[in-house]
Amino acid sequence: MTLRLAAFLLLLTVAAPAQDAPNFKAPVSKLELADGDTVVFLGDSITHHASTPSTSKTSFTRGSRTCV
Amino acid sequence: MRLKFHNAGVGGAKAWDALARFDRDVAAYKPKYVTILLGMNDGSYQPFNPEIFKTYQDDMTTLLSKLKETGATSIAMTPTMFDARAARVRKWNRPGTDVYNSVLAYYGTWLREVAVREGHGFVDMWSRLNNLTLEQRKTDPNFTMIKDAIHPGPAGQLVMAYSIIEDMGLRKGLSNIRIVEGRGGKPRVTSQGGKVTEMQVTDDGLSFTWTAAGLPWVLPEETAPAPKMLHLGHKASREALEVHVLPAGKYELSIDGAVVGTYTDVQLSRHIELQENDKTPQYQQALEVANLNKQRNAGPVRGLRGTWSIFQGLARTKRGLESNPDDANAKKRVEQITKRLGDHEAKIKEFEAAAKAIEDQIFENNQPVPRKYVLKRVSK
Repeated sequence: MTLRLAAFLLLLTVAAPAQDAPNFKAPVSKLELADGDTVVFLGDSITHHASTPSTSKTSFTRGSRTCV
Repeated sequence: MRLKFHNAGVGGAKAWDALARFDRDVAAYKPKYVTILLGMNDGSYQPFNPEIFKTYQDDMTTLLSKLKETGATSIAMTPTMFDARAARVRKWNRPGTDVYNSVLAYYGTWLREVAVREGHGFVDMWSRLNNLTLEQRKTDPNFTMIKDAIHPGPAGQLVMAYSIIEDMGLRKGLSNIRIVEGRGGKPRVTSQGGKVTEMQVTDDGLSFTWTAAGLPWVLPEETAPAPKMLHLGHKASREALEVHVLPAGKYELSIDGAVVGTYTDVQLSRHIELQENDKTPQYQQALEVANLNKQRNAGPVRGLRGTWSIFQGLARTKRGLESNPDDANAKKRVEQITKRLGDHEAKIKEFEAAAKAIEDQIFENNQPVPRKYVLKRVSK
Protein backbone atom coordinates (compact mmCIF):
# COMPACT_ATOMS: atom_id res chain seq x y z
CA MET A 1 0.00 0.00 0.00
CA THR A 2 2.80 2.38 0.98
CA LEU A 3 4.59 1.51 -2.22
CA ARG A 4 1.48 2.23 -4.27
CA LEU A 5 1.00 5.55 -2.52
CA ALA A 6 4.62 6.48 -3.15
CA ALA A 7 4.30 5.59 -6.83
CA PHE A 8 1.09 7.60 -7.08
CA LEU A 9 2.71 10.63 -5.51
CA LEU A 10 5.71 10.30 -7.81
CA LEU A 11 3.38 10.12 -10.81
CA LEU A 12 1.58 13.21 -9.61
CA THR A 13 4.86 15.06 -9.31
CA VAL A 14 5.98 14.07 -12.79
CA ALA A 15 2.61 14.68 -14.38
CA ALA A 16 2.02 18.05 -12.70
CA PRO A 17 2.43 20.90 -15.17
CA ALA A 18 5.71 22.65 -14.60
CA GLN A 19 5.20 26.14 -13.24
CA ASP A 20 6.85 28.88 -15.25
CA ALA A 21 10.08 29.83 -13.55
CA PRO A 22 10.19 33.56 -12.95
CA ASN A 23 12.26 35.20 -15.64
CA PHE A 24 13.96 37.92 -13.63
CA LYS A 25 16.22 40.38 -15.39
CA ALA A 26 19.48 41.45 -13.85
CA PRO A 27 20.00 45.20 -13.54
CA VAL A 28 22.99 46.63 -15.39
CA SER A 29 26.10 46.23 -13.24
CA LYS A 30 28.68 47.87 -15.46
CA LEU A 31 28.78 50.32 -18.33
CA GLU A 32 30.59 48.72 -21.22
CA LEU A 33 31.95 51.64 -23.20
CA ALA A 34 33.70 51.30 -26.54
CA ASP A 35 35.21 53.71 -29.03
CA GLY A 36 32.53 55.90 -30.60
CA ASP A 37 29.86 55.30 -27.96
CA THR A 38 27.59 58.10 -26.83
CA VAL A 39 26.18 58.64 -23.37
CA VAL A 40 23.30 61.09 -22.94
CA PHE A 41 22.63 62.76 -19.59
CA LEU A 42 18.91 63.50 -19.54
CA GLY A 43 17.52 65.66 -16.79
CA ASP A 44 16.60 69.05 -15.38
CA SER A 45 18.63 72.02 -14.14
CA ILE A 46 20.71 69.73 -11.92
CA THR A 47 21.99 67.96 -15.03
CA HIS A 48 22.30 71.25 -16.88
CA HIS A 49 24.36 72.79 -14.06
CA ALA A 50 26.51 69.69 -13.98
CA SER A 51 28.16 70.94 -17.15
CA THR A 52 29.45 74.04 -15.45
CA PRO A 53 33.13 74.14 -14.48
CA SER A 54 33.53 71.45 -11.87
CA THR A 55 31.20 68.89 -13.12
CA SER A 56 30.46 65.30 -13.59
CA LYS A 57 31.66 65.49 -17.14
CA THR A 58 34.91 67.13 -16.27
CA SER A 59 35.17 64.43 -13.71
CA PHE A 60 35.10 61.83 -16.41
CA THR A 61 38.18 63.31 -18.03
CA ARG A 62 40.56 60.41 -17.85
CA GLY A 63 43.22 60.51 -20.51
CA SER A 64 42.57 58.12 -23.31
CA ARG A 65 39.10 57.67 -21.89
CA THR A 66 38.43 61.39 -21.96
CA CYS A 67 34.78 62.09 -22.41
CA VAL A 68 33.11 65.37 -23.15
CA MET B 1 38.98 55.44 -27.22
CA ARG B 2 36.79 58.41 -27.98
CA LEU B 3 33.44 58.76 -26.27
CA LYS B 4 30.77 61.39 -26.69
CA PHE B 5 28.83 62.79 -23.77
CA HIS B 6 25.73 64.87 -24.47
CA ASN B 7 24.17 67.05 -21.80
CA ALA B 8 20.38 66.93 -22.18
CA GLY B 9 19.41 68.83 -19.05
CA VAL B 10 16.95 71.73 -19.02
CA GLY B 11 16.09 73.87 -16.02
CA GLY B 12 12.70 73.14 -14.47
CA ALA B 13 12.20 69.94 -16.48
CA LYS B 14 9.81 67.22 -15.42
CA ALA B 15 9.51 63.83 -17.09
CA TRP B 16 6.86 65.23 -19.48
CA ASP B 17 9.32 67.88 -20.68
CA ALA B 18 11.95 65.23 -21.36
CA LEU B 19 9.41 63.41 -23.52
CA ALA B 20 8.61 66.60 -25.44
CA ARG B 21 12.23 66.95 -26.61
CA PHE B 22 13.06 63.26 -26.69
CA ASP B 23 13.47 62.72 -30.43
CA ARG B 24 15.95 65.50 -31.16
CA ASP B 25 17.66 65.94 -27.82
CA VAL B 26 18.08 62.26 -26.92
CA ALA B 27 17.31 59.70 -29.66
CA ALA B 28 19.02 61.71 -32.42
CA TYR B 29 22.40 61.12 -30.75
CA LYS B 30 21.94 57.33 -30.97
CA PRO B 31 23.13 56.82 -27.39
CA LYS B 32 24.32 53.53 -26.00
CA TYR B 33 23.40 54.66 -22.49
CA VAL B 34 21.04 57.34 -21.23
CA THR B 35 21.17 58.44 -17.61
CA ILE B 36 17.91 59.91 -16.33
CA LEU B 37 17.97 62.36 -13.46
CA LEU B 38 14.48 63.73 -12.92
CA GLY B 39 12.01 63.93 -10.04
CA MET B 40 13.16 67.08 -8.24
CA ASN B 41 10.64 69.20 -10.17
CA ASP B 42 8.15 66.38 -10.72
CA GLY B 43 7.28 66.30 -7.02
CA SER B 44 6.36 70.01 -7.24
CA TYR B 45 8.08 70.90 -3.94
CA GLN B 46 5.12 69.93 -1.81
CA PRO B 47 4.18 67.06 0.52
CA PHE B 48 3.52 63.72 -1.15
CA ASN B 49 0.58 63.95 -3.53
CA PRO B 50 -0.64 60.69 -5.14
CA GLU B 51 -1.95 62.45 -8.27
CA ILE B 52 1.33 64.24 -8.88
CA PHE B 53 3.21 61.00 -8.26
CA LYS B 54 0.97 59.15 -10.75
CA THR B 55 1.83 61.72 -13.43
CA TYR B 56 5.55 61.17 -12.72
CA GLN B 57 5.11 57.39 -12.81
CA ASP B 58 3.22 57.48 -16.11
CA ASP B 59 5.65 59.85 -17.81
CA MET B 60 8.72 58.03 -16.53
CA THR B 61 7.26 54.72 -17.68
CA THR B 62 6.70 56.19 -21.15
CA LEU B 63 10.21 57.63 -21.15
CA LEU B 64 11.82 54.30 -20.23
CA SER B 65 9.72 52.56 -22.85
CA LYS B 66 10.75 55.04 -25.55
CA LEU B 67 14.40 54.62 -24.60
CA LYS B 68 14.07 50.88 -24.95
CA GLU B 69 12.66 51.35 -28.45
CA THR B 70 15.79 53.28 -29.47
CA GLY B 71 18.02 50.41 -28.31
CA ALA B 72 19.65 52.52 -25.60
CA THR B 73 20.19 51.20 -22.10
CA SER B 74 18.56 53.35 -19.44
CA ILE B 75 20.44 54.26 -16.30
CA ALA B 76 17.77 55.36 -13.85
CA MET B 77 19.08 57.70 -11.18
CA THR B 78 17.33 58.66 -7.97
CA PRO B 79 16.49 62.31 -7.52
CA THR B 80 19.25 64.14 -5.65
CA MET B 81 18.86 65.46 -2.12
CA PHE B 82 16.57 68.33 -1.10
CA ASP B 83 18.44 70.02 1.74
CA ALA B 84 15.70 71.15 4.12
CA ARG B 85 18.27 72.63 6.49
CA ALA B 86 19.61 74.84 3.71
CA ALA B 87 16.03 75.75 2.80
CA ARG B 88 15.41 76.89 6.37
CA VAL B 89 18.54 79.02 6.29
CA ARG B 90 17.10 80.68 3.19
CA LYS B 91 13.78 81.13 5.03
CA TRP B 92 11.68 79.09 2.64
CA ASN B 93 8.09 79.24 3.83
CA ARG B 94 6.55 76.75 1.44
CA PRO B 95 4.49 74.04 3.10
CA GLY B 96 6.22 70.71 2.81
CA THR B 97 9.78 71.97 2.97
CA ASP B 98 10.55 69.66 5.88
CA VAL B 99 9.22 66.57 4.12
CA TYR B 100 10.28 67.14 0.52
CA ASN B 101 13.51 65.16 0.88
CA SER B 102 11.36 62.23 2.02
CA VAL B 103 9.10 62.67 -1.01
CA LEU B 104 12.17 62.40 -3.23
CA ALA B 105 13.23 59.25 -1.36
CA TYR B 106 9.83 57.75 -2.22
CA TYR B 107 10.21 58.67 -5.89
CA GLY B 108 13.72 57.20 -5.93
CA THR B 109 12.64 53.98 -4.27
CA TRP B 110 9.88 53.47 -6.82
CA LEU B 111 12.41 54.08 -9.58
CA ARG B 112 14.82 51.57 -8.08
CA GLU B 113 12.09 48.91 -8.12
CA VAL B 114 11.38 49.66 -11.78
CA ALA B 115 15.09 49.62 -12.69
CA VAL B 116 15.68 46.29 -10.99
CA ARG B 117 12.50 44.74 -12.43
CA GLU B 118 13.19 45.90 -15.99
CA GLY B 119 16.96 45.34 -15.98
CA HIS B 120 18.01 48.99 -16.28
CA GLY B 121 21.05 50.48 -14.62
CA PHE B 122 20.48 52.22 -11.31
CA VAL B 123 22.44 54.97 -9.57
CA ASP B 124 21.65 56.11 -6.04
CA MET B 125 22.44 59.82 -5.81
CA TRP B 126 20.06 60.48 -2.93
CA SER B 127 21.67 58.15 -0.39
CA ARG B 128 25.23 59.24 -1.02
CA LEU B 129 24.42 62.95 -0.81
CA ASN B 130 22.36 62.45 2.36
CA ASN B 131 24.82 60.11 4.06
CA LEU B 132 27.86 62.27 3.41
CA THR B 133 25.96 65.37 4.56
CA LEU B 134 24.94 63.63 7.77
CA GLU B 135 28.52 62.55 8.39
CA GLN B 136 29.88 66.06 7.89
CA ARG B 137 27.21 67.61 10.11
CA LYS B 138 28.50 65.60 13.05
CA THR B 139 31.39 68.05 13.18
CA ASP B 140 29.91 70.99 11.27
CA PRO B 141 26.14 71.41 11.76
CA ASN B 142 26.02 74.10 9.06
CA PHE B 143 27.57 71.89 6.40
CA THR B 144 25.76 71.69 3.09
CA MET B 145 26.64 70.70 -0.45
CA ILE B 146 23.36 72.23 -1.66
CA LYS B 147 23.26 75.88 -0.65
CA ASP B 148 19.99 76.67 -2.43
CA ALA B 149 18.46 73.39 -1.14
CA ILE B 150 17.97 72.06 -4.71
CA HIS B 151 21.09 72.36 -6.88
CA PRO B 152 24.20 70.56 -5.62
CA GLY B 153 27.24 72.82 -5.73
CA PRO B 154 30.68 71.68 -6.97
CA ALA B 155 31.20 69.26 -4.05
CA GLY B 156 27.73 67.79 -4.55
CA GLN B 157 28.28 67.50 -8.29
CA LEU B 158 31.44 65.56 -7.61
CA VAL B 159 29.53 63.21 -5.32
CA MET B 160 27.01 62.75 -8.15
CA ALA B 161 29.78 61.95 -10.63
CA TYR B 162 31.35 59.54 -8.20
CA SER B 163 27.97 57.85 -7.69
CA ILE B 164 27.73 57.11 -11.40
CA ILE B 165 31.29 55.80 -11.53
CA GLU B 166 30.83 53.67 -8.41
CA ASP B 167 27.34 52.31 -9.10
CA MET B 168 28.06 51.62 -12.76
CA GLY B 169 31.23 49.64 -12.16
CA LEU B 170 33.60 52.22 -13.62
CA ARG B 171 35.77 52.89 -10.58
CA LYS B 172 39.38 51.76 -10.81
CA GLY B 173 42.86 53.09 -10.19
CA LEU B 174 44.75 54.82 -12.95
CA SER B 175 48.08 53.01 -12.90
CA ASN B 176 50.58 51.05 -10.88
CA ILE B 177 54.33 50.66 -11.42
CA ARG B 178 56.17 48.13 -9.26
CA ILE B 179 59.94 47.64 -9.40
CA VAL B 180 61.41 44.72 -7.49
CA GLU B 181 64.70 42.86 -7.50
CA GLY B 182 64.67 40.10 -10.09
CA ARG B 183 67.06 37.33 -11.00
CA GLY B 184 70.72 38.22 -10.82
CA GLY B 185 69.92 41.36 -8.86
CA LYS B 186 68.45 43.04 -11.94
CA PRO B 187 65.29 45.12 -11.42
CA ARG B 188 62.06 43.51 -12.58
CA VAL B 189 59.14 45.77 -13.51
CA THR B 190 55.44 45.02 -13.48
CA SER B 191 52.83 47.61 -14.33
CA GLN B 192 49.13 48.21 -14.90
CA GLY B 193 47.61 51.12 -16.81
CA GLY B 194 50.61 51.77 -19.02
CA LYS B 195 53.99 50.54 -20.18
CA VAL B 196 57.51 50.87 -18.76
CA THR B 197 60.44 50.94 -21.19
CA GLU B 198 64.12 51.92 -21.09
CA MET B 199 64.61 50.85 -17.47
CA GLN B 200 68.10 51.75 -16.26
CA VAL B 201 69.86 51.49 -12.92
CA THR B 202 72.41 54.21 -12.27
CA ASP B 203 74.99 54.75 -9.51
CA ASP B 204 72.64 57.01 -7.60
CA GLY B 205 69.20 55.69 -8.51
CA LEU B 206 67.28 54.60 -11.55
CA SER B 207 65.34 55.87 -14.53
CA PHE B 208 62.69 54.60 -16.92
CA THR B 209 60.17 55.78 -19.48
CA TRP B 210 56.48 55.47 -18.61
CA THR B 211 53.71 55.70 -21.17
CA ALA B 212 50.43 55.85 -19.26
CA ALA B 213 47.12 54.80 -20.75
CA GLY B 214 45.26 57.64 -19.03
CA LEU B 215 45.53 60.90 -17.14
CA PRO B 216 44.85 61.62 -13.46
CA TRP B 217 41.50 63.00 -12.39
CA VAL B 218 41.93 66.75 -11.99
CA LEU B 219 39.60 68.22 -9.41
CA PRO B 220 38.98 71.94 -9.04
CA GLU B 221 39.53 73.38 -5.55
CA GLU B 222 35.89 74.34 -5.23
CA THR B 223 34.93 70.64 -5.05
CA ALA B 224 36.38 70.46 -1.51
CA PRO B 225 35.70 68.66 0.77
CA ALA B 226 34.17 65.99 -1.48
CA PRO B 227 37.44 64.43 -2.72
CA LYS B 228 38.57 63.95 0.89
CA MET B 229 35.19 62.61 2.01
CA LEU B 230 35.17 60.07 -0.81
CA HIS B 231 38.94 59.30 -0.69
CA LEU B 232 38.51 59.92 -4.35
CA GLY B 233 42.09 60.21 -5.56
CA HIS B 234 43.12 56.95 -3.95
CA LYS B 235 39.95 55.07 -4.88
CA ALA B 236 39.27 56.34 -8.37
CA SER B 237 42.51 57.74 -9.78
CA ARG B 238 45.34 55.96 -7.95
CA GLU B 239 48.67 56.54 -9.68
CA ALA B 240 51.12 54.42 -7.67
CA LEU B 241 54.87 53.93 -7.84
CA GLU B 242 56.52 51.24 -5.73
CA VAL B 243 60.30 50.71 -5.80
CA HIS B 244 62.12 48.02 -3.82
CA VAL B 245 65.59 48.14 -5.33
CA LEU B 246 67.01 51.37 -3.93
CA PRO B 247 69.76 51.59 -1.33
CA ALA B 248 68.92 53.55 1.82
CA GLY B 249 68.63 57.28 1.28
CA LYS B 250 66.47 60.17 0.14
CA TYR B 251 65.51 60.32 -3.51
CA GLU B 252 64.31 63.11 -5.72
CA LEU B 253 61.71 62.09 -8.28
CA SER B 254 61.64 64.06 -11.49
CA ILE B 255 59.34 63.49 -14.44
CA ASP B 256 60.41 64.98 -17.76
CA GLY B 257 62.87 67.14 -15.83
CA ALA B 258 60.31 68.54 -13.37
CA VAL B 259 61.01 67.70 -9.73
CA VAL B 260 57.75 66.41 -8.25
CA GLY B 261 58.90 65.36 -4.78
CA THR B 262 61.52 63.87 -2.45
CA TYR B 263 60.95 60.47 -0.86
CA THR B 264 62.91 58.04 1.27
CA ASP B 265 63.70 54.54 0.04
CA VAL B 266 61.27 53.27 2.70
CA GLN B 267 58.43 55.45 1.38
CA LEU B 268 59.17 54.30 -2.14
CA SER B 269 59.19 50.66 -1.13
CA ARG B 270 55.78 51.11 0.53
CA HIS B 271 54.59 52.99 -2.59
CA ILE B 272 53.90 56.62 -3.29
CA GLU B 273 50.80 58.03 -5.02
CA LEU B 274 51.09 60.81 -7.57
CA GLN B 275 47.50 61.40 -8.69
CA GLU B 276 47.02 64.61 -6.69
CA ASN B 277 50.52 66.00 -7.26
CA ASP B 278 50.01 69.10 -9.39
CA LYS B 279 53.73 69.27 -10.21
CA THR B 280 53.63 66.21 -12.45
CA PRO B 281 53.51 66.85 -16.19
CA GLN B 282 50.61 64.40 -16.51
CA TYR B 283 48.59 66.41 -13.97
CA GLN B 284 49.27 69.56 -15.97
CA GLN B 285 48.25 67.76 -19.16
CA ALA B 286 45.01 66.64 -17.51
CA LEU B 287 44.41 70.21 -16.31
CA GLU B 288 44.65 71.47 -19.90
CA VAL B 289 42.11 68.88 -20.96
CA ALA B 290 39.80 69.80 -18.06
CA ASN B 291 40.06 73.49 -18.94
CA LEU B 292 39.10 72.77 -22.53
CA ASN B 293 36.13 70.80 -21.29
CA LYS B 294 35.21 73.73 -19.05
CA GLN B 295 35.39 76.01 -22.09
CA ARG B 296 33.12 73.67 -24.03
CA ASN B 297 30.58 73.51 -21.23
CA ALA B 298 30.55 77.24 -20.55
CA GLY B 299 30.25 78.03 -24.26
CA PRO B 300 28.41 75.87 -26.80
CA VAL B 301 26.85 73.44 -24.31
CA ARG B 302 25.38 76.29 -22.32
CA GLY B 303 24.09 77.89 -25.52
CA LEU B 304 22.53 74.65 -26.68
CA ARG B 305 20.78 74.08 -23.35
CA GLY B 306 19.48 77.65 -23.56
CA THR B 307 17.70 76.96 -26.84
CA TRP B 308 16.13 73.83 -25.34
CA SER B 309 14.94 75.88 -22.39
CA ILE B 310 13.06 78.15 -24.81
CA PHE B 311 11.69 75.06 -26.57
CA GLN B 312 10.46 73.74 -23.23
CA GLY B 313 8.56 76.96 -22.56
CA LEU B 314 6.97 76.70 -26.00
CA ALA B 315 5.98 73.05 -25.56
CA ARG B 316 4.36 73.80 -22.20
CA THR B 317 2.46 76.81 -23.53
CA LYS B 318 1.21 74.78 -26.51
CA ARG B 319 0.02 72.06 -24.16
CA GLY B 320 -1.89 74.66 -22.16
CA LEU B 321 -3.43 75.98 -25.35
CA GLU B 322 -4.57 72.51 -26.37
CA SER B 323 -6.57 72.18 -23.18
CA ASN B 324 -7.93 75.72 -23.52
CA PRO B 325 -7.97 76.66 -27.24
CA ASP B 326 -9.71 80.00 -26.62
CA ASP B 327 -6.98 81.35 -24.36
CA ALA B 328 -5.91 84.47 -26.24
CA ASN B 329 -2.98 85.12 -23.93
CA ALA B 330 -1.63 81.61 -24.50
CA LYS B 331 -1.94 82.08 -28.27
CA LYS B 332 0.04 85.28 -28.02
CA ARG B 333 2.66 83.61 -25.85
CA VAL B 334 3.05 80.79 -28.39
CA GLU B 335 3.67 83.35 -31.12
CA GLN B 336 6.20 85.22 -29.01
CA ILE B 337 8.14 82.14 -27.93
CA THR B 338 8.10 80.68 -31.45
CA LYS B 339 9.68 83.90 -32.69
CA ARG B 340 12.24 83.83 -29.90
CA LEU B 341 13.14 80.22 -30.62
CA GLY B 342 13.72 81.03 -34.29
CA ASP B 343 15.30 78.33 -36.44
CA HIS B 344 15.85 75.84 -33.65
CA GLU B 345 17.48 73.16 -35.79
CA ALA B 346 19.96 75.64 -37.25
CA LYS B 347 20.89 76.82 -33.76
CA ILE B 348 21.33 73.25 -32.52
CA LYS B 349 23.65 72.47 -35.42
CA GLU B 350 25.67 75.62 -34.81
CA PHE B 351 26.21 74.79 -31.14
CA GLU B 352 26.98 71.16 -31.93
CA ALA B 353 29.66 72.21 -34.42
CA ALA B 354 31.23 74.62 -31.92
CA ALA B 355 31.26 71.89 -29.25
CA LYS B 356 32.82 69.41 -31.67
CA ALA B 357 35.64 71.81 -32.52
CA ILE B 358 36.62 71.94 -28.84
CA GLU B 359 36.20 68.17 -28.49
CA ASP B 360 38.68 67.72 -31.35
CA GLN B 361 41.17 69.91 -29.46
CA ILE B 362 40.58 67.84 -26.33
CA PHE B 363 41.35 64.64 -28.15
CA GLU B 364 44.53 66.13 -29.55
CA ASN B 365 45.67 67.18 -26.08
CA ASN B 366 44.80 64.03 -24.17
CA GLN B 367 46.96 61.55 -26.05
CA PRO B 368 49.42 59.41 -24.07
CA VAL B 369 52.91 60.92 -23.82
CA PRO B 370 56.02 58.84 -22.96
CA ARG B 371 57.49 60.45 -19.83
CA LYS B 372 60.97 60.09 -18.40
CA TYR B 373 61.02 59.19 -14.69
CA VAL B 374 64.29 59.70 -12.80
CA LEU B 375 64.88 58.72 -9.17
CA LYS B 376 68.11 60.28 -7.99
CA ARG B 377 69.60 59.94 -4.51
CA VAL B 378 70.08 63.37 -2.93
CA SER B 379 71.18 62.26 0.56
CA LYS B 380 71.96 59.08 2.45
